[in-house]
Amino acid sequence: MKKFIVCLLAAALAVTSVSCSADKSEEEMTFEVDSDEFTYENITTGVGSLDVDENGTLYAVETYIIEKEPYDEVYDELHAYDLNGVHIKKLETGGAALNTVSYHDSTLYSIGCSNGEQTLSIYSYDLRTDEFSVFAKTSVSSSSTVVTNSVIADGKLWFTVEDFGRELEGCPYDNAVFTYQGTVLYSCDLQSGKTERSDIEYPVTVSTAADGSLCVYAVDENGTYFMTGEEKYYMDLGYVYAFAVISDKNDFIFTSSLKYDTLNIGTFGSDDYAEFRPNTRCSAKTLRYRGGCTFYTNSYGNGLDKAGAVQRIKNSSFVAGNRTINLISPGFIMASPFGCGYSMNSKELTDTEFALTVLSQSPDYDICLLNSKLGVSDSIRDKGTFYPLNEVEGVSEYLDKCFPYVKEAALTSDGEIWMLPIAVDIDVIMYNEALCEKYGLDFNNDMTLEELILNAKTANESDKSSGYAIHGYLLNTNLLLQYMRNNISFDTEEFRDLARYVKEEANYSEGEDYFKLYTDSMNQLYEGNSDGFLFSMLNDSLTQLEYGFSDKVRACPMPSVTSDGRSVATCVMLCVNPASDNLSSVLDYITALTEYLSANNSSMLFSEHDENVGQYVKDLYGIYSDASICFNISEDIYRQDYEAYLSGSTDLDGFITEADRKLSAYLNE
Amino acid sequence: MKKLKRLSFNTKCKLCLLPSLAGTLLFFVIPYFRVLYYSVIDNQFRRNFVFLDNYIETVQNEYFLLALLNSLILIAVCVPVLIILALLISLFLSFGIRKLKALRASFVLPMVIPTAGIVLIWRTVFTDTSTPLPIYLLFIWKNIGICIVLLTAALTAADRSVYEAAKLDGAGSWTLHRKITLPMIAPTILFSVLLSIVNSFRIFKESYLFYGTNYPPDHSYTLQYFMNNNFLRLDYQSLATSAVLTSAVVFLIVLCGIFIQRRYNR
Repeated sequence: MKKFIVCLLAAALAVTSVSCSADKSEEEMTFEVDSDEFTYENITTGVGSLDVDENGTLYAVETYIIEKEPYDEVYDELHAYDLNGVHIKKLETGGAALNTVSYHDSTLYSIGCSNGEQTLSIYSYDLRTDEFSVFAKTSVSSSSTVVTNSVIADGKLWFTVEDFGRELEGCPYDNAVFTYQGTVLYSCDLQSGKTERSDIEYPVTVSTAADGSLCVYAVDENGTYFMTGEEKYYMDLGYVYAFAVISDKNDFIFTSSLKYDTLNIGTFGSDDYAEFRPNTRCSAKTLRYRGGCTFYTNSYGNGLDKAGAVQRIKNSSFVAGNRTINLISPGFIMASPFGCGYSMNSKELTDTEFALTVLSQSPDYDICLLNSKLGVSDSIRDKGTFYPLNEVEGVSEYLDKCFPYVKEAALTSDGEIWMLPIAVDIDVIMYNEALCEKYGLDFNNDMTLEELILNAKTANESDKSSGYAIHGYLLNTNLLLQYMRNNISFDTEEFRDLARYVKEEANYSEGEDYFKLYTDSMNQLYEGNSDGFLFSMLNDSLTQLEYGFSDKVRACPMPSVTSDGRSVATCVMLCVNPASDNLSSVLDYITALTEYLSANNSSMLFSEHDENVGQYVKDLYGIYSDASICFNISEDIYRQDYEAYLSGSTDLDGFITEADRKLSAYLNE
Repeated sequence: MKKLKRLSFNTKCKLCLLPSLAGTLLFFVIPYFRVLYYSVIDNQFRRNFVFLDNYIETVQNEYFLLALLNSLILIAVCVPVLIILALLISLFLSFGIRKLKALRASFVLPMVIPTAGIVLIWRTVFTDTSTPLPIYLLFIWKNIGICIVLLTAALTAADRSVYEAAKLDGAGSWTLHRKITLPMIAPTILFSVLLSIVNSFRIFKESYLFYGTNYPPDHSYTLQYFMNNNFLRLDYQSLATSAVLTSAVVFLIVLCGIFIQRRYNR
């Protein structure tokens, strides 16, 4: 009996030590890489799919195009690269069209088809013998489907295909964020080669869990969920396009419709997540995690212009494992700060909730997200309910880079940095220079309101083959903000003249057709049809910059209606709560954010910029350099009466009396 | 347990009051002193003492004075009307048309109908906002119920034998009510007056919904608007100062009421 017990104990010990060493080896499997981020410069074409083995060797399906008549020739190649990006070899795949690549046990598996085949095949490439062969044939049509992902889990190759023939209406869950694309999940047994369709009704994509099992992102009548084993986690993360499980603690990286082109890290079962990598553009087939690193394709920025460039980042350098940073904002603010690897929780509060939270010195929020248009922003500054950022690393240097008027707005009269500006927006008019000239429209930096209206009338009288749009509400808001920048009363001749003219000529609710006309001209421009675009207005810098690709578009400021010729800028800013109980992390985050914003000037904040840009972007910089940020009196105070005046339900004197009464109370109470 | 039994009746009563007193202390007295503290500092984060500066600034503020004046006019006009109306209805209920007794409960209805519902009707009926009349009527309508309940309860509790004796002595209806009813229910009237005054400072919600703005016409701009707007603009000091000054006004009115009652009782 004693012997039996001793044997049992020894066996238990052996099992424990083996499992411990297995855990250890899993923990230790972190690639020894020098840099935090790395670009595979030797990949010179688009990558359709990638996977990484345990040594960090990257296998990429590269697509090449040879321009030919009448049709271009497109073909795929499979290549291997080591951790330093050095090309190891081209893997001979016999000219097969490959959709995916998945690594398992010294073998690569690919879904694809050869010329003339009507169904998808599964190919294998034995890395020990360099033998490429058809591993299995499936009954899945190659012409009516698109392979969207493949992973290896539970000894099977799992792959998702978008089936064009599938009835989409049957999906029980559909909303503004999520629309089912008809994806079907298949598996192929790596022993028998038998392929079968999974019984998961509405799958979206898949990943391999840390224990080698399958993790599925799918949808049912209760919403979108992740499923590992028998466990289902319903999570509200928008439409998740791609994800990869990264640890046995249920952490995963993903990209979703929450914020396009951003890599996030989340945990199954929690709606909290951290944005940690911007400017990414990867699909389910081109996002992989291994050895502490994320491998993904990036078709944007970071100095890379070529489509499909593969990047690798060391997660530990970008993901901050601190407490969640809580943001509050008084109402909706379009711009939100990048997470910089910190888990962010944003709450949009009502005015009353916001005032109560701030005044109660609540330690539960860390940062206020504000806009200079909101009346409460300057109250935060004037009442001292902010943590001064003067000593926070990187903030002063960051402000020095900003336009002088931005820096000025960030300082109190005592020189304290009361907020961190994260975006500046100015209303601009975009116009197609050549077309405007053709139609006799004149847009310039000194354009008056009368000239703008004349342009609208001329455009309306044209053959309308090119669309234009005057955004009446935006224009009226801009005019009011311009006027209120230097006035505290509407009872002036200057305003009376402006108001009469606006009601007569620029009345978007009751006015003439030429002013009410709205077309999809911006969409025409976005889709590359610049001939369909005459002119339009845009109010946020991020969107304005998106049109930088067009060499036919120019920009000019909104017409100035006051003696102060500068444009009116609105500023989105962050203000740190001095009573936050998470202050140390918050200040670290602020430092990280200044670094990120300095490296990604995507919101026209900085006075120095790349000179190698088109005329349109140069125009924008010209406009943004000559502006001022005003902490305006909240529009809510007078807008309703202004609308009543425009619609004719009150006369000008009635509007001025009522608006001035409210302004007087607002300014003096 | 035995020790508890040995305690005097007064001590037992005080012990029973303890939870209520603790609640009052926690939720009213301590916050009040906190507000007092905030009213003498420059802001709640930096906390530099400015002593009476905030008070001087507030009492010199034209909108505080306007709000105070409007609040006092509301009290001066509406509270007497409210009490007289409530008293008349209560007398009718107690001594007049006895069949009206069945309707007694209906007078409490304004207190239980949601404010938004009432205001919707009010906005349909009163389209002219050039005077504060709609708000005055709304205040009276909203508060008359509780006054009727209080006064009717006091009248019901009055000793009927006194009335019988006075009638035997030849007293008429007017004399009966002037000489007997009024003195007997005077404490309840005073309580109703004080309650109405306190409620007059709480007419903000109805007024805000009626006008739909934080900046109503000047005639209806009361202290609650002043405090609420300063709250939304994060001006805790103005808010605290005006709250303290308002409480001082209410306290003075209550003191006056108690003084009058004591004089009357003598």
